[in-house]
Amino acid sequence: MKIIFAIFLFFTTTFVFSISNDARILNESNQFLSDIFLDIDDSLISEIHECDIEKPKYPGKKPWYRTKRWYNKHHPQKRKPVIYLYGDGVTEIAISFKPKGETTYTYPEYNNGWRVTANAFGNLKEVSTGKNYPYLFWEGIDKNLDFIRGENSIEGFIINTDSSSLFLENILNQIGLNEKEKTDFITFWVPELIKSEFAFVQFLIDEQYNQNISELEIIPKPASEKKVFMLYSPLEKPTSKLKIIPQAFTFFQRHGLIVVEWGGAKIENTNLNF
Amino acid sequence: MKKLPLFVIGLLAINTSFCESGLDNPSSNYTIVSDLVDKKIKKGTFVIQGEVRMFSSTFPLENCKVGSLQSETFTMTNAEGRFTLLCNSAIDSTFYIYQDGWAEITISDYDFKDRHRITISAYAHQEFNHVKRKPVIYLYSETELTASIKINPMGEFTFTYPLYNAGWNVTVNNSGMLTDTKTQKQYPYLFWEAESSDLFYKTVGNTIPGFIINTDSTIQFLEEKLSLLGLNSTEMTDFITFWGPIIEREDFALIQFFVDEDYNSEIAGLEITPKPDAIRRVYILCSPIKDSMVGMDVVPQTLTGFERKGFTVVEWGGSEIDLTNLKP
Repeated sequence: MKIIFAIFLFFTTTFVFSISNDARILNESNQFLSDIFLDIDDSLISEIHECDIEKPKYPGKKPWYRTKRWYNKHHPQKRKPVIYLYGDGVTEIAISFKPKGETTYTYPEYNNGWRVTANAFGNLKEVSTGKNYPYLFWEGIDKNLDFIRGENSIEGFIINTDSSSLFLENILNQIGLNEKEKTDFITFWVPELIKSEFAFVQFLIDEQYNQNISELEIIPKPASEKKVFMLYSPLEKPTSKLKIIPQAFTFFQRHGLIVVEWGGAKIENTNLNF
Repeated sequence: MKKLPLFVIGLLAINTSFCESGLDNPSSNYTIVSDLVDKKIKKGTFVIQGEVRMFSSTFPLENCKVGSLQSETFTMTNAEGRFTLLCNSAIDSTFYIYQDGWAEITISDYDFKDRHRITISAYAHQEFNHVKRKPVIYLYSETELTASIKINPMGEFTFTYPLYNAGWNVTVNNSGMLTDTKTQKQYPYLFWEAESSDLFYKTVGNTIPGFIINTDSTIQFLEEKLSLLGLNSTEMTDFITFWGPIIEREDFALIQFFVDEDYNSEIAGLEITPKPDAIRRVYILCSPIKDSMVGMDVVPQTLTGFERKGFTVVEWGGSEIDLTNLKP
């Protein structure tokens, strides 16, 4: 009887969350349930949830799950890819990118490409407007974005998010990002990572970035290029059913026209069973 | 004047009931405005009346329950946030003012006298915390100097970078990079985040100084206002690439800036030695909204520039205030 009531309560609360137009994440509703029924078996809650979360179809008039807000929440957002260029300050550089999925935001405005000059410090000047920018920016969404995994294993790291800053400094140093790029990356992503106690993190570098995130076309061709994308999932426990294989990185040498791009995405509805 | 249709739906409580109230001093949440004998009031009773407002603003809080703990009599506030409650002199002595999602206000320790009319002004505080997002501090100086920076945020730090250890100590020079004097590591800016309750738009009378924008024009709007405020291209790009995507989530947005003094009093105090020759602090409060009405008159906020000279400090940050949760 208690189980049936728990199920009922779960759906009720889920519905309540939906009409308040604010899909709460799984652990919050779990927390809510276990706050009320301290003797509820936790495994039951996660089972109920797993069969429900993929495509919630709630009764009621509002098809809220078709709204932009729901869409954005349930499709991985490629957040803040920023592109830095370091050049001679004179040569015009044409940059265009082909993202998987849709582009939702660019800055400066993207008109079938950006045209800039870049100096050695990374200051960009847009050719058409003469305005200065520290980097080029875009965001997008891609419903197919997910971790790259093997049959029983996955490359990446499980981290305690207390150490996010140190962890990212270490990885980004190995990759060869400079102080500015590193700080921009860390100050953007650590506040997101620390929302859960643990996280699984995987980096898509260079070729993997091209295949899964976005391809860059730059004329003239850069002499050195580095692209880093971080995928992560919040975890409640630092354990995984998959074998975690730590990723290794190679340091990139900077010379000539240099291009660095980084971005990241939270993978919420992953099929991986951590 | 349009009336404010904002009130917290009961469901909000579920969303926010996990958060602890950040209130320290509940006694400051109401004031007894007047206490007068009223012969029209029957013997054995007294009347409490008044209004409930959001924070220290003039936003009324509608549908708020006002009642007695003893006799369990209660009433609800109307659209103007007003209430009137007839009470029993023999038993009623403690009152509560409550709405889901808002911290309860208790009125006790007051001598409610028979046949008196007591007028109360109450200020409700939200129970959930607002994150003060991404305040970044840029420091510039043509001549090299070592600066010590201390911040006193309202609320608790959630993240700082580099690590804030009772302050930051950095060397500032014309390279555009700051060097942490202890670790010798370089950073383009200093970063902190904090969370606290009770962050809300400032009101002047019954108006909000600020802007309602059609979010198709977010970039032009921000570029215009931020240049007016004196931000340079890097600061502006960092600001726009962070806030642009948030503001553009809905068709319209309500925006208000806390500049300099308002930043100091509402967001965080900033103490820098040596004293900067020029300082500009810009904080954005924004709410993505579905239509261009917020129930109060929004009057364009006056913004002024600043002149960069010598040792210059610029800080920006912001918070999203979720008005969609407040709307019925």
